[in-house]
Amino acid sequence: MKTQTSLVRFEILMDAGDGAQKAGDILVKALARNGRYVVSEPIIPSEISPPRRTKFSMSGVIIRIADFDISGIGNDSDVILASHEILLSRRLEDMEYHTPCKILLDMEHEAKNAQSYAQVIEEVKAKGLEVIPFYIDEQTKELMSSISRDAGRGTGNNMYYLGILTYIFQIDMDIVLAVIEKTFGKITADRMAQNITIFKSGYELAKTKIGFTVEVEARAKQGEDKILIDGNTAMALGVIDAGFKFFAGYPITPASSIMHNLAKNLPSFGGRIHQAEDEIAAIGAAIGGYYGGVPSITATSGPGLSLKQEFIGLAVATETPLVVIDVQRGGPATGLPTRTEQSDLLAALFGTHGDSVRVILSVTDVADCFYAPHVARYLTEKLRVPVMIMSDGFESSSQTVIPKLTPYSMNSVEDINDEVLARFGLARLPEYIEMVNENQSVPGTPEKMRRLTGLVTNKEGLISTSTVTQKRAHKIRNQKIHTLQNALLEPKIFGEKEGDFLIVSWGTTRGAIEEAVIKLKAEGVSVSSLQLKIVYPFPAMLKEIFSKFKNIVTVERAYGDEKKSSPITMLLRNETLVDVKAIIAEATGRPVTPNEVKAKILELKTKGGI
Amino acid sequence: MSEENKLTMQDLNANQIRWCEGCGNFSIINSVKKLIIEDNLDPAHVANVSGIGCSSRAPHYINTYGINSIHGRAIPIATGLRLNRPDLDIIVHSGDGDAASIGGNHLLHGINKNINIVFIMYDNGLYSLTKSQTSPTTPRGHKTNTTPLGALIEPLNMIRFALGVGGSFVASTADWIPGHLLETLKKARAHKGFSFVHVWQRCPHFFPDFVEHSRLDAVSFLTSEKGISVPERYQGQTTVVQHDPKDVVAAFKYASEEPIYLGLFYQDESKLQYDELVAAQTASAKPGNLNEILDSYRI
Repeated sequence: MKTQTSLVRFEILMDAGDGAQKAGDILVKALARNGRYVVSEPIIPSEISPPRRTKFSMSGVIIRIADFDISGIGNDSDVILASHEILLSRRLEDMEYHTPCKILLDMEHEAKNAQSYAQVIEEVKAKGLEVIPFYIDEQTKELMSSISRDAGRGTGNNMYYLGILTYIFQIDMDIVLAVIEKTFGKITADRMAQNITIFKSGYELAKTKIGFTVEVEARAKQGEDKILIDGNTAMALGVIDAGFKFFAGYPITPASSIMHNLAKNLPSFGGRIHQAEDEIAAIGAAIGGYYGGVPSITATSGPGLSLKQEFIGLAVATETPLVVIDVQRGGPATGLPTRTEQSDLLAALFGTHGDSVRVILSVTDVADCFYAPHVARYLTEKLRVPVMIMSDGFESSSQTVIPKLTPYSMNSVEDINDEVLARFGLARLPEYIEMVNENQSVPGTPEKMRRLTGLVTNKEGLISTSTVTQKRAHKIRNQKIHTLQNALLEPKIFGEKEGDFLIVSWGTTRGAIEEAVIKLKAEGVSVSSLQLKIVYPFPAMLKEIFSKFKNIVTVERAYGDEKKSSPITMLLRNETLVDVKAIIAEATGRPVTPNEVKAKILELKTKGGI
Repeated sequence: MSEENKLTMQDLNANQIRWCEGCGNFSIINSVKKLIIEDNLDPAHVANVSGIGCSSRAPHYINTYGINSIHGRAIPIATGLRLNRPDLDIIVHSGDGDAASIGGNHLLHGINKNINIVFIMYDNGLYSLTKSQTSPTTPRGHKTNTTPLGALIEPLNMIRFALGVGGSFVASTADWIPGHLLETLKKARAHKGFSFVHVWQRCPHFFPDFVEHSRLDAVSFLTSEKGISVPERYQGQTTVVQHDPKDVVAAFKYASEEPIYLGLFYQDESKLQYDELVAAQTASAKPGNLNEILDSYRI
């Protein structure tokens, strides 16, 4: 049976450590070389090596293929391949499957767990999903176990599954083989041949016994001139390209891999890495670095953002440049460390005591991750106000195939590329920006010695408790934000500039929203969307833009309800005095999906608006 | 610097000092100023870093670069500054609440990482800027606003702490013995690594009798050729012990004895410095090319 489609999503589920992600990587690269648009997201267990054949050991990868450009992971899977029944049962709890969905279930463990298998298969059928059980032949199993014995880990099944999926999604076999060779470049010729034998057995099984294919037309540019990269990697490389020479951090999920990458690469660009004793010390060291005149940055997640707040206030008061990357995860407290959320906006903007100004940047895709550090450095050095870069758990680890990024090797902030600024909706700032302290000299500068302090100071930088001084300091700090607001370009609207619905959002929800807009427009709904990249300050023309639409609605992976506005809704209502309402204000740990957005707009349309 | 251009104490005065009359801090910052003059330092290449508290106001009063930051967090700032600016002389000023209570974790790791800074702990045995509360070094039984019946537990012994977490330079001195204080600071500055200088300091307002400074035999001295000399007026008036600063066991013993010992308890010149190791790692890294790194992510 052959299905032709423009969009399909599938996933591989295996016990942690069995190589599901490696198989996923090979598939994603092969699909992209073969001209498909592709996005993938790993499924990572919260523990390192949880016991096998339990719900906790679920590891895997979700892959979405399209014949048009996508940046989101979509809604639900059409095909799921599970190495055993327990992982399948666990994954179905997340309700991310289509009905019908084809479920390929490896029956290897069935003999010893007949009852459990029977029960899960019943469950699956009751949900209206199709189970396709399969058995790996004895000869292949023998080969797989000899490989895993030698390697001391894994089961070897991932290569077999790779073969099955190569057939089902009709990927050019030669391309897959080329990617396998590149991926396993260092193994012996014999071992390579064994792996390929296993891969081909899987392919044969799919062809002869499974028998269905799902084909997505190859409409993207074919070939290898593209990169497969995740958000945290792109962010780390962006930090280097933006000319940061010092990174201080503390291990925390999901921000850590930014530090891992920089630990490997930053010294090669003359930069230094510091793993501090705690989150507070990390941001303190970054402030110390910038105080010494060296572009410095820190990254954190969840509880780390709470711990950093007092120091953010010090950077504000002392007008010391500072960039903080916040890779948002589920909260409060430990919350959902390995899952995604957008609940930090208010903490990022207002989390410090006192009137503590700052700029909020957000990333809407993996390429934004690379360019956000450039813009952040430009803004923090020009305004001497902390800049927060908001990413999230989804963006941190989701891999996208994109055209190769263009490095700029930024030395000074005046070097910044205007296109990079425009990407974030920004024009150049004026040459002169008034500071609280007239003297901004760096240690080592003769004759201009100064003492910085968190106490309020006058323009000579001297402590003064007078009402005039405090009023002036507040005003000047806030004027810096207003100066930035004046430099914001008119935000780009996805779709028409007027109509029934305008969906306003920020950060990584963009892909899902824009897909929903395309679908809704095809169904005749008058809807557009606006994605904020500089989330604070808002562009001054927002109210004017809103006036062209009948309904202004928001989508955000943060909590809100009838009585409590979601964070972005709260800020937009305050800024524009427009009756903005959230259509999605839920924090579930999973990214927003196009269908969710589409359904909410259709519901609203039926109701006749907000 | 030639004789006529030589820096004076006046040159190093900055903002008007707001400490109470009789405060031991005056003596400490005077010694810091003398250190700058006598060691021929360029004030533009000195950074005084502090947290919060009476003593943390010190950077305001010395005409160099400086930052009076947030409570307990001087060491993180000094660490970031040191890692990026090996050319500066960095002096951290921290009180007993700032260093031993809220900033205890940073002190532990600053000492253990052996970051090259001079750390002056102004120990007056209580919180004073917030008007008398008990600190980790308050003597048991001493009454403060938070312990009206007297401090409950034995005070933290800061010398034993610094020795215990691997201090490479551990010394103690007193604000009322300025010669000893200055000599200690000079040795601390000459030491490469984290120089922990504990200073017994008097708060005239809340705890004037923390140490009986008027009695010569209220303090004893550790000395040696490599150590800190004993001021003349104390010679023959109190206990003086010859102590090898390489002997960590004896250092612990003296740190535990009464009356309090001043001098160089311990010095290890061979301990590796974190800031130098980080710098070396960067210096020895093969120059990178971002285009090549991006190419490694090609599909």
